[in-house]
Amino acid sequence: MSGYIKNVVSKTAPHVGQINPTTVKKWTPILGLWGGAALFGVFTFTEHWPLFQQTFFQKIPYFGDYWVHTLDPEDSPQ
Amino acid sequence: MLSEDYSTIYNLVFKRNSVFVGSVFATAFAFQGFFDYGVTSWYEAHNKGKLWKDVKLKLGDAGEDEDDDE
Amino acid sequence: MLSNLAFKQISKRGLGLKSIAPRFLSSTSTALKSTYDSPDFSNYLNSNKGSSDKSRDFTYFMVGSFGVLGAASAKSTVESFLSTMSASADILAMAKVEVKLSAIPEGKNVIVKWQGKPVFIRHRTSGEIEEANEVDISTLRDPQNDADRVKNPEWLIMLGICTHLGCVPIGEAGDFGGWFCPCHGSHYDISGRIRRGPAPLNLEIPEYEFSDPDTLVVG
Repeated sequence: MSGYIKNVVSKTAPHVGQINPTTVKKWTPILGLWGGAALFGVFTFTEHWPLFQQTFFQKIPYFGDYWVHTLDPEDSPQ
Repeated sequence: MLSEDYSTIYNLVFKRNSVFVGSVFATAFAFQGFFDYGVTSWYEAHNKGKLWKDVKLKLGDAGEDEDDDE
Repeated sequence: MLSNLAFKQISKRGLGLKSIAPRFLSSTSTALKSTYDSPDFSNYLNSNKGSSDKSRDFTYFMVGSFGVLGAASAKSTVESFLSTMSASADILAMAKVEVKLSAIPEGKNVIVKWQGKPVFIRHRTSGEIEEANEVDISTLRDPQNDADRVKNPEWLIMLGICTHLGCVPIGEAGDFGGWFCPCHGSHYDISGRIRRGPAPLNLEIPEYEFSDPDTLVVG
């Protein structure tokens, strides 16, 4: 009855410091969601910025026209 | 409302903090827009006749006899 | 004795969880319940059967809506302050320059100052336009069609800054019927494209538009 296993047979997963495939799998969706939250945050704070208005907000399907500023036949340059 | 609906809302929106914060910002964005639109509409309705766009139309009707100053 | 009484009371009501039927002096029931003297919370517990998240939802909703209002007001505040730092209307007015095109006869150059830089405006003749179009762009250092450089081929508008080291080229000079830069000898053709000399790129075309057929607005 010899030959019992005395120690746990273990193998180290590939890792860089604390980052290994398990942690990556766990954290990727969470970080993705936080990225989305940050994106919405940026949108909230840059609402008045014409650059963002033209590239993003005017393209929203139904409400996009709110950010389109057309000036009437303005006579001021004259 | 069924208690099921409360649970679905909880699980969908409130459970993950990232989703919660994201929805807070998205709602803030939408709220800004609607609030601004609402207040502007009320203001323009309240001051009807005194705004430039109404005065401009009246000027057009009067034949633009207005003389500019020197 | 006293502890037994308390024990029974706890066994009866448990920790306020009515769903667990109390059993007197049953070993299984005693195993389910805490043997510590803890207060009876049954008056404060949610009377909802099963797990409803209504109260949690309410709390989170209140917190969230406060966050919405806070975010909106923070944005308004920040924006109010930042907008005071943006360019004022008189500065923006100086950013554009208007030119009356009827004052420029055909075949003549005019130099206009815009944002501190010279802008060349040439009223080109049809011969010059043809000449500009006939050039084979593959031979050019910076290939560009004349059509890509002008909105109206009759009017050539470009910045009068040599793309080599920034001198101002001289009009109606040079071997290609266009401009010649005296600093290092760059020759530009009738479309402002570099033909000979050290300059790498064609003369830059600024933003402009014709606000009416007789007026040019640069910038």
